[in-house]
Amino acid sequence: MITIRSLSLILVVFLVLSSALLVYFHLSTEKPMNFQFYNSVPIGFYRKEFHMNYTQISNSFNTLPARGTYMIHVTTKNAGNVLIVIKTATTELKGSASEINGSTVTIMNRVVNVVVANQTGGEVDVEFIPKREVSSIILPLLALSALGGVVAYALRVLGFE
Amino acid sequence: MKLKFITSGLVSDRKLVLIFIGAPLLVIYFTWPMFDHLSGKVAGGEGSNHVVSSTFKFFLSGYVNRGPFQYFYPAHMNAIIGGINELLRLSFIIGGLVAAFGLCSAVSSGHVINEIALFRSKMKALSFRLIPLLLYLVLSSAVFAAEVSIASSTFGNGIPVKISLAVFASLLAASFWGFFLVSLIGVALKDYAYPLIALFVVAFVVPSKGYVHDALMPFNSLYMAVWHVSKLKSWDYLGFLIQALTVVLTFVVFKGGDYY
Repeated sequence: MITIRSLSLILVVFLVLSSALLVYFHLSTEKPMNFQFYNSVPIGFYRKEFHMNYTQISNSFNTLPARGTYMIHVTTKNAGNVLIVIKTATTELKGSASEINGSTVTIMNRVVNVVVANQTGGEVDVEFIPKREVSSIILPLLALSALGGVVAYALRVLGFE
Repeated sequence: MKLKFITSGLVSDRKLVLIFIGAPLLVIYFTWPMFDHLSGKVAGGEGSNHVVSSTFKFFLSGYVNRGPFQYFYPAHMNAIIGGINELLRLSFIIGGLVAAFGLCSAVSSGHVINEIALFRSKMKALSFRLIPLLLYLVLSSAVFAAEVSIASSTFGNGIPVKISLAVFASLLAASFWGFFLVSLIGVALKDYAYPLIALFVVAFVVPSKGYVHDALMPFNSLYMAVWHVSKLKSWDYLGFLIQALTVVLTFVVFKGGDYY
């Protein structure tokens, strides 16, 4: 049983559903990403075995799910006085955990390298939390709506309704 | 009133309504991840070492400069081009499906006789049946062009408006090519099964590169030429000529057909 009797209505339904799907995909792509760093050797091992103070330096690079602006959230647990470096294609943030925590970074090239140096134990968790932006989808959707309006009007003028 | 007759004929066809609404949604669903299909050297990695505490700053720059930053742009460009090419192929198929169920089924069932009688002209009857179908293809191409724009921007390298418009033109050409290929065969044979077979043969059996591909899928080269990725070749021009001839032949064959 066909309940939709108007071609214009079908086109509007098609446009609304397609736009909704695109917005959903765009928003669901912007997901947070975690970089975790564990100290792989028990605290005090090197001091006990070699009578020297050793610290861990490590990095982890990955591709963030979407481009955009991210807030960086750092949590440390018995990790010592760590130095964190966030490297992107265009920027480099460097500082202690408290300095990096809460800062924002804008990503175009989605590759990110996170370095944690001077880690003496425990764990460091660096999380990239996306700040939701819809600006990149507004222009195409506005153009789409305008075109939909023109087509609907054209159908009316041509006498299809 | 005459046009309303055609419209109610179109929207009361359940298959056509399903294609109108469902096909583009399926296309978006399956092609969206293709714009993030990063192949090659863009992959995650990690490294770690223990160093004497006082020397960690000496090692720092070596760790900071790791990461495949330079590989992201080309990998993502390949993903965008792969996504667009798949969208072109699917636009071509949607164009063909719309023609099969919007025009060829009416010719096949004989329903088109009523419209010819109503308009008192075969050309008018055909033109006014084509207008809503082609307007739909304009809209579906615009939706797919918006998908390309949004997906490429979401996943990294956004594309300029000029390229978005070129992609829209290519998508439109692809859907019109599928539409008129099926229309011509359907009108000539007064059937819609054979044209659909021809549609899927062209869409899936034609090799993805080479002269035959250029002649049968020239719209792939259209946006690439605007983007300066590659130039239009003589086989592409032949393809555009074949497309234009198909449009003209559809009208000629329809005009010469006997539907009574």
